[in-house]
Amino acid sequence: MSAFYEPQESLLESRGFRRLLAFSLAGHIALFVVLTFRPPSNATLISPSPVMVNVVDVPKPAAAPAVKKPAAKPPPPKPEPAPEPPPPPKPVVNEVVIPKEPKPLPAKPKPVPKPVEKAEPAKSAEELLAELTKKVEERNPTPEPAAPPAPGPATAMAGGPGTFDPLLSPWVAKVESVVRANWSGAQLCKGVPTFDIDVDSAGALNDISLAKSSGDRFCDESAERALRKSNPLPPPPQAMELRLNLRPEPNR
Amino acid sequence: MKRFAIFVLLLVAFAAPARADRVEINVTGSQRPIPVAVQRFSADTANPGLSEEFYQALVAGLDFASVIIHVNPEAFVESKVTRDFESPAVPCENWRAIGAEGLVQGELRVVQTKLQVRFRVWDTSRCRLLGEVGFRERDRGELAPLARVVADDIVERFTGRRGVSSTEIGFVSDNGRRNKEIWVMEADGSGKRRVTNNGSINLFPAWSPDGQTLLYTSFKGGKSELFLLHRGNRPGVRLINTPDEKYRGVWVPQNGTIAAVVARQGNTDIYTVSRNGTDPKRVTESRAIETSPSFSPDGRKMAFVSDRSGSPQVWIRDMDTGEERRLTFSGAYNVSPAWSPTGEWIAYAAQAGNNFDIYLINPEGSFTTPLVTHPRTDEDPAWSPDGRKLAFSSNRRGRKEIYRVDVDGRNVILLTDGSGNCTNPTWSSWLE
Repeated sequence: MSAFYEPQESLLESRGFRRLLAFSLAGHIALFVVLTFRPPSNATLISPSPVMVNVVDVPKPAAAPAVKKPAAKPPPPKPEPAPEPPPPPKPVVNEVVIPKEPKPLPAKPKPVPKPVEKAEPAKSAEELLAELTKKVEERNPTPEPAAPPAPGPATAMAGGPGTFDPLLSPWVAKVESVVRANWSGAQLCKGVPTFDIDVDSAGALNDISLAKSSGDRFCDESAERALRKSNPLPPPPQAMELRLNLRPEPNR
Repeated sequence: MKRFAIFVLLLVAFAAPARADRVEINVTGSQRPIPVAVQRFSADTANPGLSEEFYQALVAGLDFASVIIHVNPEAFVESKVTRDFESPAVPCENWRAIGAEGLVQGELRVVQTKLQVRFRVWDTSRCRLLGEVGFRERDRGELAPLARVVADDIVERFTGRRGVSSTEIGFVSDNGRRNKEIWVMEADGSGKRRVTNNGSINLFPAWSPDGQTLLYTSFKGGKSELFLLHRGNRPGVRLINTPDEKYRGVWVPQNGTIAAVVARQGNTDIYTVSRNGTDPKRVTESRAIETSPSFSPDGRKMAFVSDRSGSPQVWIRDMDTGEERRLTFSGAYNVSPAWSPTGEWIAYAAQAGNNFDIYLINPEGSFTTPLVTHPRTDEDPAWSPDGRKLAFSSNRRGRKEIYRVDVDGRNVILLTDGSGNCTNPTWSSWLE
């Protein structure tokens, strides 16, 4: 595959190829200029934080093989209130990383279209620019899809401590919420009662057993009442054994 | 190509759903009271309002505990009144359906002119009988006190600790005048009555462990002395008849003696005496001022205030070994220690600017937390016998008044009516 990156001497010397190269370079430079010096009114189209934007599909020869872009590292992520979901996979050929602050173009090799034997007639820089602008404007006003719910505290330990099962996370969050809402008298507890429960695929609690007492019978009983009140739980992805640690809110 | 294949394999491995057949979940509970349904007790008396009056006093007593809340009867699927008390069958599912985790049902009867109550307490979650009890009023017309005793019993069946709605709080009030008298009220603030009437200055009331006697300091003889005041019509008695000034007496748990502050030959120390006032023993021997004794539940340790370090601080003395250690180090003025009946905490008043706040500190001194902090003064903490509440005095509304608060700092409730400056609360134990 690395052969695709190796320029062919004969092609570089080709006049048609040089013309194509010139147009491509001009297009990229124009793109940079436009995105860097856009009027403020349009500045909101670009997220203030670094984002990956698929800007344009630069025309390439029909017969051109898929070009693999050198792995470009995005700038370090900044904390955002709502992390964007990863962009859907697309047959993207070229990507342009738009930094927060206008910076000179990186000196590293750009994804220049690979030399080919035959090339389609290239568009002029103006045409490219117009097309590019249109595409950017079409893309950006689209509201970002809501980020998937972030996993809650790592309370689901599947397959042993330290293993977090993201697929169980929504169910775990529901269980936590249901039991918490049903637990009255948690203020009686100083310790942490632990229960082992068999949950069937419908969420029914078939066997509630106190695995470890809090040391206070009334605390244990309040926790057991919470579990019985929570029966049935929301249906889990599969029948399972559940270990529940019921912790009192820090209090006196 | 090989690298790409490895990458794809790894991707698939991580993306595949993990098969989990055992999951561990942590649930953190909140401060939610236990919902208990209370049916109005059946009554075979000619007084139609008896059942309703008893019910109102009972649910007020339950809610007083903060850890239990009664379910609104309008939500009941079953009858609001106990029917056929002799038949203990209970459709638990119908009580669970309205969110009740407990059920109280009972009956009232008048036996030989006195009210008698029998009741059952159910855990509807497990459909288990927690107990069946009967009580009878001591004197006629004590319906509300009887209902509070029932409420406190119910609280114990769900929490392991008896409720305190049937207890009383003693306090000092000037009632808008120059003299200060000892007063007593129910723990909910009702039934206030003056129990001393000597026109002098009476301070620092302290209930005996059995709740039958009040120890207090009075200037009625011209100097500060200790007196006992008994329930019933027995007159108050002077405790220690010596020339020394004596004040702020407290009861030592377990051994029945009394500790008090005695000013002798210009030195103020803590002494113990028998409850007859005999056999005085000096406890602290520092040349500094020692005052405000308060004992651990087993009576083997005493918290007190001493200025031997340069400012008033709380100290702890081991009554067996005589070893003393300083407990409070934060703040320049920490006074009025009160050891909780559970032994877990010592409440004290800490100076904050020109005012005082009440803090809790564990007996080891490793953890301190504010209980009530108000821009004005909160002071004189006194524990309820179950260790779940405290009474204190505060001038947050201008005059000093008595409040109560849960041990977690919630539910600050005013108990007095602002008719005078009220201070020095003392919370009684249960009356047998």
